[in-house]
Amino acid sequence: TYRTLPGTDHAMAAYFARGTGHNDMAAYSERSDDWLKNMHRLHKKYQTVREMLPKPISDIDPSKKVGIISFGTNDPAIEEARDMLEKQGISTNYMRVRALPLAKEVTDFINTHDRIYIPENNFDGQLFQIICLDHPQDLTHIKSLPLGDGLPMTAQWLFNKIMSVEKK
Amino acid sequence: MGKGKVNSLGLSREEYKGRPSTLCPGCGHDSISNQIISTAFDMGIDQHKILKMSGIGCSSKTPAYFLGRSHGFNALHGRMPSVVTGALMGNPSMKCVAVSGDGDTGSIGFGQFKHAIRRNTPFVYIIENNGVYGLTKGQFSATSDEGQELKYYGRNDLPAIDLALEAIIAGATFVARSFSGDSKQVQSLLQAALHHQGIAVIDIISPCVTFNNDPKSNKSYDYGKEHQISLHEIQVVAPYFVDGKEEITVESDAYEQGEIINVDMHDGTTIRLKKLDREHDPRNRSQAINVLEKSQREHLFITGLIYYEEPRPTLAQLEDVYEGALGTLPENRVRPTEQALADVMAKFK
Repeated sequence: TYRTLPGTDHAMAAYFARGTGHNDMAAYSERSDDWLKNMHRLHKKYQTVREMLPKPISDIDPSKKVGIISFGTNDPAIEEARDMLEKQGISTNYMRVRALPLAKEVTDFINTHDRIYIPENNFDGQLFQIICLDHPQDLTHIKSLPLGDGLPMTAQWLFNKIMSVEKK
Repeated sequence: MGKGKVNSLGLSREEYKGRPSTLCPGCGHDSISNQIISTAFDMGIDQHKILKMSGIGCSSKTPAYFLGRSHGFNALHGRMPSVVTGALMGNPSMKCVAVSGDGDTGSIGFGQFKHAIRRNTPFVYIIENNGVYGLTKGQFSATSDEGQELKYYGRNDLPAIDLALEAIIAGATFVARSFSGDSKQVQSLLQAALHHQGIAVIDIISPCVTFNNDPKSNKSYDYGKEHQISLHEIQVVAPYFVDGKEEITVESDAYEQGEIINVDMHDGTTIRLKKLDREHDPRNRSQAINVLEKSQREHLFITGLIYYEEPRPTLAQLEDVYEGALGTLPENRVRPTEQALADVMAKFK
């Protein structure tokens, strides 16, 4: 089927856009099998789009076994904290996620590190929760570091949090 | 025009219909859909030049049942006005008939309703008002009468919002109220509204036969038939109808019984109003507000053209938007050249 613009002078041109179920030809449908087909199509679309969205930006050295996953404007604080940790002998890899659903690279990162920290400026640690939902395997090596005090993340905060675990 | 006849475009009335309605038999909204079909057929409107838009509710399902050759968009609850505004800025040459309900407009969409009027986006805004949320099985709405009782929801202790009054206060230049059971009046008002060069709000009481048709309800068929007070007989005289123009009698500001008021519209159309049993000059804003407030206080069901004034510039005119469809402009009209960008950037150095 093709899409026509409003104002097209043809008896067959009109289309009524609405959020109800529709069949393969975009015609209105209340059939449950059409609805299920749509749900499967959307599920497939959601899985396919993982590879089409902006990929995570990573700084990875395969010899390092401690990783940090985060997103957005936590970035400067994380980079500074990594430098501070390096001086204490804790070398880290870092992955900055840029889209949802998560790319395959996030799974690879999770599987190739011994310990992973997920700092986020989100009281409920929702990136951590999304990662858990996406990865049914054992995640005991991943630690959520949620921050929710209303202020931007600081390098000192992140450094203290990671040090309190690493130096136990 | 009778059955089997064709209009000025050579189309039958049948060709102005949409899909069969799935609303309850006897629903007031189906009457309004029929009146939209009849009006568009009688006026010889090109359906492809009309957009039909709606929000969510039983009322908002109806665009599927009329003007099957018009593009339509069923938006989100209360969000029809913003979608219409965007659509008409994208193509100001289209006419638009938009359908909403008392829940869609009077509650969740109230802010959008007010601002669409403020912007004077030119479309026919039909509120199919049944005093309940019908699609979700009969809850009270913002226009339910104070003191009304419904079987499963008890008593409504909140006063009703008068959407026609709110439209006038917001600055609408065409405001009417009608009753879905009065097909002649609805069609006349629709015809006049389609000629209006600004937003035209028509609040049509449209009984919900399933959830709010008790004769005690002021939104029921029985109540409407018994209590409707039409302000005037309405005739819409198109600008090309020369004979009709010659019959126009002298208008007067003093409203005597039996007198005719002629409201001249922007495009040369005339709305001829023959007063029935009470005085009302729709060109007088204070009078319009008073008649609605009086009808609220005294529980009167006043219908007709409540308020009319010369339309303000539309939003597209104010913003000096291209008068055709933006989507049909060639790339060189919508994409500045590299030199044009360089010239703009140079101004900031």
